[in-house]
Parts: sequence; structure tokens; C-alpha cells
Amino acid sequence: MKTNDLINAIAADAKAPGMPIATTVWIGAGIGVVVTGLLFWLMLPVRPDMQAALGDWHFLMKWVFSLTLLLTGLVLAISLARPQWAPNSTLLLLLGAPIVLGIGVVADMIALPSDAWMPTMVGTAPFACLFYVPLLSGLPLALMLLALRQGAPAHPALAGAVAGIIATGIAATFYATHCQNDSPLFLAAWYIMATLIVASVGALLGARLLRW
Amino acid sequence: MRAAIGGDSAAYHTLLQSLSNVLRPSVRRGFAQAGAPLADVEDVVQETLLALHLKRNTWDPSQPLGPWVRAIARHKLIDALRRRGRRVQIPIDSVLDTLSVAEDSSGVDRQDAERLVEGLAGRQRDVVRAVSLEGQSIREVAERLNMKEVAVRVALHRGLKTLGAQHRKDQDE
Repeated sequence: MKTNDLINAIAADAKAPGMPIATTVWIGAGIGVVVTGLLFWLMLPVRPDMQAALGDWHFLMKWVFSLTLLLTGLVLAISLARPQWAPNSTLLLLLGAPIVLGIGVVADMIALPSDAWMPTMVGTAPFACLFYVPLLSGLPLALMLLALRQGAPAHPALAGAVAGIIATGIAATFYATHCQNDSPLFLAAWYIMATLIVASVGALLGARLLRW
Repeated sequence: MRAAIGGDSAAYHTLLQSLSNVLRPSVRRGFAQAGAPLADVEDVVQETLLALHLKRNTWDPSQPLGPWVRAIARHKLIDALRRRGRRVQIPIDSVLDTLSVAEDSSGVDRQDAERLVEGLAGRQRDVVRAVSLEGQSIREVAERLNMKEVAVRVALHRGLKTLGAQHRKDQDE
């Protein structure tokens, strides 16, 4: 085919412009929240002391952490989905959630006697967290990868990892209402580990699926 | 591009035409630097045009068009050179020959990139053929192939998507 002929064909297809990539990513995340919420509701009960927890900064800290993951991930994903993105200061967004958590950890270490640090960090159900958070992340991860496939990421593995971070943000927001370990120390150990697991899976999948 | 996203075919045609004229020498330069044979330059130009089209949802209309186009062109160029790297390496002497020939006759890298349209089958092929090679309008194609205009549009769009995904299949082989 001559290039001029191809141009004829492309110009004839001028209609039907796709939805802007930012909208696609937001919609993907929105659907992710709904399906993850449904799955969570089917699988796990909300903690019995939910009312009391809502008044406790430890619990609210979990939401601040997971929502920071979610929002910084979304902003980063939208930049990464454009082909002209090159590693720059937007990557600092990745530090957002760890910084928020770091502040919480310091505050809690000050509040607790030092011999309580270790038991608080290990918590009562660390492996449940490592199991359920990645499990709940599955669907939103798939949705985010699907959304990012509509984009043109120059760094597919990184984009996949960020998809994983968004997915963990969604999953952890719901799981936080089941899990009764509220200390930032617990989050720093287990939620972070869960995030890294999902982000790694996202990176592996992204390297294959997000090429264009 | 703004007009094109609004669905203005004629403006889009002009834009693609001028972009292809800018892309060709820059892809050729990339090939020459990497020591790749210039015969496939047109393939990369076409892949880039397709990617620009299929990924135009990633261009933010409030941003300048240039960096976005360059990023896609670079991506496609690197992709093509990488694919090439996995194939046979050509001795540098013969590359230099091609280079000097190509400088003389601008026709060499303008040759048909036949590979592209081969990958299409059935209706998609008919429609893309008719619109591109024969330059027919959507309505003419619809009448001739006895299809609805919508169906022609869909087949054309799918056909272009298939073409855009073509090189990835080559890569996985």
C-alpha cells in the first residue's frame, strides 16, 4: 500500500474519535471501585466496631493512606498514558502515600511504648491482609490495564505498576473496613507489602499488555 | 488535528499528508544512524501514521501537537529498529551503498510498503482497499459492496486497528 493510499483510508476514518484517555482512566477506576465494593460486600463482613473506628485517627489514617495511593496513582497513570511522558518530577507522586504513612508511623511510635512496637506491627492478622488485598485488587487491576491499553505509554512496565498501585488503593480502601489492625505500623509492614506485590504483577502484565 | 478530531476529513487528510512529509526524512535519518536498510523507511512512516490515528485520544488538545507526534514517531522508530536488530544483521558496506543510492533517488524509500495491507482479510480488506487504493468515499464503497454506511465505517476502523497491531504479530513470531 502506498502511504498516500493509507492516508486516504485514515482520513476517511476521521469520525468516531475515541474518548480522551484521561476520561477512560477515570471511568476505569470508577468501575473498579464499584466491582471491588461488590466483591468485598460478598466476601467479607464490615468490622463490628465500625462506628467507633470512624472516630479514631488510626482508622482514618488507613483511608488517607489508601486514597492517597489511589489518587496519586490516577494522576500518574494519566500522564504515563501519553506517549510523550518521560521520567520527570511526576514520579515524586509515588512518594505521596509513603510520606503520609511515615508521618503516621512516627506519631504512633511516639504514642506507644517501645516494647509495643513489634506486636503492633505484626498485628492480629497480617496474612489475611496479604491475601485479601491482592485478591481484591485483581479486578480493578484488570480494569486499569484495560483502560491504559487505550493509551500509548512509552514505559509499559511502569504504567502497569501504577495500574497495580491504583488497584491496591481501591482494594485497601474497602479492606480497611474489615481489617481491625489500624496502626500505621501495621500498614507500613503489610499494606505496603501487598501494594508491592500487586504493583509487581501489574508491571509484569503491563510489559506484555501495554505495548503498542 | 483539532478539526480532524471534530471529524473534518479534508483537514485530516492535509495534516496527515504534511506529517508524512516531515516524518519521512526524520525516520530515514534514524535508519541511517542505526545502519538499517532504507527500504523499510516507508513501513515505519505508515506505522507512525496509523499510531497517530489510533492513539489520537492520548493527545491533549490544550497541548502543542509537535512533542506528541515526535514521541509517537520515536517510539515507532525504536520499535522498528529493535525488531530489525533481532533479524539478520547487514554488513556495513552494503548499508553505505544503500545510503548513497537513496540519497540520489528519492524514489527508493517511497516504494510501496506492501507488507501492511496483506494482513487484512474479508470485508476489512475490501473496504480498506476500496477507500485507500481506489480513493472511493464511504458512500460509494457502501453502494458497491452492498453494505450499510455504518458497517463500512466500522470495517474501515477495524481494518486500520488490525493494521496498527500488525507489527506486533511480526515481533512475536
